[in-house]
Amino acid sequence: MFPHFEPLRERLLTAGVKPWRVRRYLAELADHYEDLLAEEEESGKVGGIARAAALARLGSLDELAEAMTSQSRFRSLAAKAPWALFPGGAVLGLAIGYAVTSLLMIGTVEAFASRVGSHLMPPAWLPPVAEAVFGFDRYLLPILLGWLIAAVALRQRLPARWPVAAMMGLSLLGAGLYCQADWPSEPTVWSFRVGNLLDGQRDSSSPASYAMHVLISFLFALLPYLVLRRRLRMSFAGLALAGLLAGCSSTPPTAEELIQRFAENRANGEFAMRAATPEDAAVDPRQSARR
Amino acid sequence: MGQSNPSFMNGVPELLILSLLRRREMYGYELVQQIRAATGSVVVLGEGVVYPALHGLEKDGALKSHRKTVEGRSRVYYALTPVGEARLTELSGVWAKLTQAIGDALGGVAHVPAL
Repeated sequence: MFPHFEPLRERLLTAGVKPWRVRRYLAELADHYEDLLAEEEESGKVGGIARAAALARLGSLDELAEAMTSQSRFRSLAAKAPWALFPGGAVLGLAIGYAVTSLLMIGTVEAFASRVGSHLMPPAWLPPVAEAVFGFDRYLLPILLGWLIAAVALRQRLPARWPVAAMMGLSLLGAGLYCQADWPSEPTVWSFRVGNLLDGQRDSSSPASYAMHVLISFLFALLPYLVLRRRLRMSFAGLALAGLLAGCSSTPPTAEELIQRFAENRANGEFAMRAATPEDAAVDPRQSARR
Repeated sequence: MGQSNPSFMNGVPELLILSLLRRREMYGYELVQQIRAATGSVVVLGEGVVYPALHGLEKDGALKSHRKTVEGRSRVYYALTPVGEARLTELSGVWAKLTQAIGDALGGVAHVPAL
């Protein structure tokens, strides 16, 4: 994998540029590079010399990054206002989950319950189904929302504090909220409510069980995020290491450095009439930019 | 482009891009080569930096883009919009005034008698 576009991708994402715009930019740069390479080859340059010349014309890593990061309008909302998006998104996600549950419950009872006089009797299958849906809201929804937040944070290379804070908030809120329906054993009015454990109307929850629920929910949301984040960092560090092992500095080389290196090597006769090697193939940015 | 003194180049890429795209739609590489040709290589871009400029103009509504496959290669073509036409007219007017003013100033300097 060529190390030129990967650092650019990381730099742009870390600077908060929208991921889709980074993808498009890199794809256009790769197209442009192919045209430049063809032009350089037509002019008589070959192999690494032609590639280095094409890269030099494309611009240095700093120039390419600066041209994009200097325009704040290319930054994502998550990068501009993570404090608003993450806590806000977490609360909104939970609110939507509970709203959908409420509407679903009321609609199902209205549709399937049999009428006894002025009262509604739910069908026998409804209470267990309702309990499953309530359980989903209470136990799974905060974790799923946490994973969604983790995915956004990883994709946009955001600092860990925002997704972790949002996951903690989700766990605290999610473990505290509940849906409850009381089904009549005889014709009477069924009841449904969304509440929180502080309202004192739900006896089955103790502070210890609440704390355990918060902890488990938080860990389930957090662990995949930490694993994926570590893997992402390792893969990027691996690119830098590959560059180091290939004789580069700890940071990937700029196009100018590549040209200088090729020029030095050519002066030493190292590239004279040399056939292409696997290392040459690895120095082809077309492969990395397509990802 | 004017990399030795970029502060003199503010607004120039935008003007050149809009001006060239008024003639016909182009993709990035083609546009950069046209800029080079049209300016006699006086204006030479770090070629990749044309894309953020194109994206910015597109976001402003001055350009529209579409992907087109030509000779087996898929490319993003950019074309001028009516908003872009208006912006080009405005920028051209500003540029004409500026060059006139600078030309006058330089002409004045040229006529200062030698001591």
